[in-house]
Amino acid sequence: MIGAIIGKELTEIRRDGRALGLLGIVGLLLVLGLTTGLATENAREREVLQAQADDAAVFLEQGEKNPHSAAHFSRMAHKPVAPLASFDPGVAAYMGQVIWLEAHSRNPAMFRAAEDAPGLSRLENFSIAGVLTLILPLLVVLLGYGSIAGERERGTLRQLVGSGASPTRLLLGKFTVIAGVGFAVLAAAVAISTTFSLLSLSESGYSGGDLALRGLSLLLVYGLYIVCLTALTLLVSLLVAEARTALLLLLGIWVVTVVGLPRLSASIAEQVYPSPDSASFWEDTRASLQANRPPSDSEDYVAVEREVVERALGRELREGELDDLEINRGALRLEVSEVIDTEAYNAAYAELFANYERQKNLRQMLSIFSPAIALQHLSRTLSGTDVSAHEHFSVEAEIQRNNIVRAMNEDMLLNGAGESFGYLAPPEFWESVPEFDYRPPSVALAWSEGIRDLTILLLWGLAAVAAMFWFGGNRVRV
Amino acid sequence: MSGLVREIRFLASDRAALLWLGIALLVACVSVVLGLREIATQRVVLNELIEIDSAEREVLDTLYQDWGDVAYYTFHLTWDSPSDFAFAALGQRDTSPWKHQIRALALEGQIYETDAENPDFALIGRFDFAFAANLLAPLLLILLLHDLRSAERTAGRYELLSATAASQGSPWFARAALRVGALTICLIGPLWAGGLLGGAGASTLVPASLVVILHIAFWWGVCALVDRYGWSSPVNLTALVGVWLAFAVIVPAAIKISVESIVPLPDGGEILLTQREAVNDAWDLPKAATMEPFIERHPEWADYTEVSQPFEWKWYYAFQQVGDQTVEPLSQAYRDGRIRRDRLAGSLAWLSPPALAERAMQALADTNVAATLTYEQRVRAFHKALREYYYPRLFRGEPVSTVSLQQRPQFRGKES
Repeated sequence: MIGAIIGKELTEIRRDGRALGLLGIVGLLLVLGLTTGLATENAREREVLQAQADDAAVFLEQGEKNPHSAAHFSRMAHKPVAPLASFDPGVAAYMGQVIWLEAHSRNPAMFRAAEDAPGLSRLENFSIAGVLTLILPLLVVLLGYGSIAGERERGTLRQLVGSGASPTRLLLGKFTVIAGVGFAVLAAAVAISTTFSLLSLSESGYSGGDLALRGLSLLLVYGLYIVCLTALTLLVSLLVAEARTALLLLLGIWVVTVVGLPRLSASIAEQVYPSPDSASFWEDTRASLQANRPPSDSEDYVAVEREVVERALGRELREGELDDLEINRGALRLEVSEVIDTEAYNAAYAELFANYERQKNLRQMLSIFSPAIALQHLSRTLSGTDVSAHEHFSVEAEIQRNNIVRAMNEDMLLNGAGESFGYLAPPEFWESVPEFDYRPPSVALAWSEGIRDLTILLLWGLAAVAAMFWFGGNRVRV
Repeated sequence: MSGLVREIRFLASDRAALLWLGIALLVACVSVVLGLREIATQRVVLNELIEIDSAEREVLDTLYQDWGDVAYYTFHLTWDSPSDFAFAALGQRDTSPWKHQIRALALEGQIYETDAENPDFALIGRFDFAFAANLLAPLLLILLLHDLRSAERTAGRYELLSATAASQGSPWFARAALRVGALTICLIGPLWAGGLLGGAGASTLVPASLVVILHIAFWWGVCALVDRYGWSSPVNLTALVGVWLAFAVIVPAAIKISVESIVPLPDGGEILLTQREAVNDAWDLPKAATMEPFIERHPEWADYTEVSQPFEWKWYYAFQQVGDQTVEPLSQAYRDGRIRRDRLAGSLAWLSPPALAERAMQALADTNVAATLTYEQRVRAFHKALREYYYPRLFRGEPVSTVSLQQRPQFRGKES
């Protein structure tokens, strides 16, 4: 019986020119999104690799130089392009992509592609994820709005029920076909996008297995979105008398929940938990740096001095040995200040990212009114293009900054005794400074970040399916 | 007159139409309130920062006896105050910095500062009036107008209504006009209320209202055109949403992609790397290698270029300037490219009425790319004034004095 219902539904879709037309448009948009996404991200990846190579060459070829002077020059950390950025570019264009790993200062990422973009309306941020979030609901609505209401208007619903088709099976058949078409579009988009990303996987630090898992995860969460959309569409079609009313209502819901609410929720979250402006952020950071620095004759300061020297020597110091050591005292002061200031910098940045998290949590709460919000979060998280992925990069870059500056300071501390800032490191020294070998977070971290959004999406899907079958079971008006 | 009264009664009894109009009013009100709050917050932040900036300088001015120290440790706040109409179209203010803390060091390392706002929200965009009027309102208009004739056709009343109303003029025009008028009032009413509360004058509110009216009129035309084909309500609705997708999403996306490929920009990272390299190299180069290119730009200090000590402030600031000079061509190309991109996008936006209306709103609100670039130029001009203030004092080795400090340039916010 269910097979016959599915066959009938597929025939109706084939005969409905609008559904096929929209299906074609969605396909075209996905191809366009994929092409532009791949072109943009490949170009960006080439730029990153070139910039990394240029940066390394300049650093390694600086010849004889004072290590502290070189620490001011230091290196740049270039954020690798996430391979699924061609599927969902996320916040990549809105966060800087390069961090200057300078001595004394934890710098924010610089150069946001969004600043170079022509001023339009933000909806032009075209991607496969955008097409699936914004336009896939329209496809589902168009396929499903008349499923029950249309049959009822034409009188065929009564015939179907009269011929022995149970309302539940009828609903299940219609649900399978509509969700199946949506899922086929989704599967094609994710499969092609992931395959291209796998083929172009280079030095981004992602593994093929991780990428494949991310693709499967995207399939799962967008699949849940389709389940939710299909169930809601059929529910509305069940509840209203006429197909045109169902379409009107569903499009109204789409306007509010998919176009309007994601933006409104962001504005509300920004109002409730305002982001600090950069000037205030730096004022506060400078103040906490000052407050965190102990006097140079304090026990705390001496303890850090001892820790720094022991780390440089690779052994514990004997009592009183610190005062007698022949080391570059200027370099010791520099490294001690780095160690102390790093704590304050880390606290300041942790608070900044914690505020982003509070904003995201509030938006999550508002996703009880719109599954599109939870989907947007999950899509970016699983594509590795969300704020958390950037935070991971920022934290790793800071560790690298500490390593670079430490290597410079230790060289001067151990080899520049009595020379103060006149000490010059030999040209071959720069090769011993560790390279930044950034490993992006795995899909496991993405899942731990996205678990609440997934729960919300799951609840949306379950509630919609339960409501559909509840109202569709024995309560369906024929 | 009786026809109008009849249509008003008809509209009042149409629950769906009232729902869409109610949503339009709600959306417009919420967007205006959120915009006003955002601008109020930005102003509070600016006032606080200006106060702190001034207080900090007062303290710093008593600490240092050397112009090199004064110039090194003193930050100067620069800012771009929001206009009184910025609440309606926040535009580029969430992607481009509108305040900086500038020192007399190399500018290129300071001017591309990233703000601390949540990038997620910058990606999504703000729920401002421009979004409500340019992207949501056309959809609500489509929901209001798509079945004016087709619903009557389905109900079998179309011919009868057309025939009986023929002597009084077309009922369809009056019916549509009433809905369009109601929607426009739902949008413009909150805009004017917000504008008057926010201090925007009629000189801004009138053209902004005109933008809204013209944009709504365009969509009315589209709805009327689709309605002429005599399709059913669902087909009309599908076609109109398709047109909205094309104009509001696909065409702007195509414009963005085209503009970015037609006008490539130098890599921002390259500017920073080149400048950093120039500044860093200067520490190890003979002093003359810095002073020569500096004097080419500032021949007035040719007699003061002797640097006898391993470190002298005048040499330090000279190589900061030379660092900026080195990347001048790149920086200029970057800026020119952004201007060209924006101009090209402006021309192509005529293909997308929502994008065109958005740009018009941003221009009225002074929150567009041009405003961002103008602010950047003002920062550059201020930085140049700072250098011109410090150089005579650094090169002549003048003592720091209160009188001299009072002559230091002060950044002035633009008048709104």
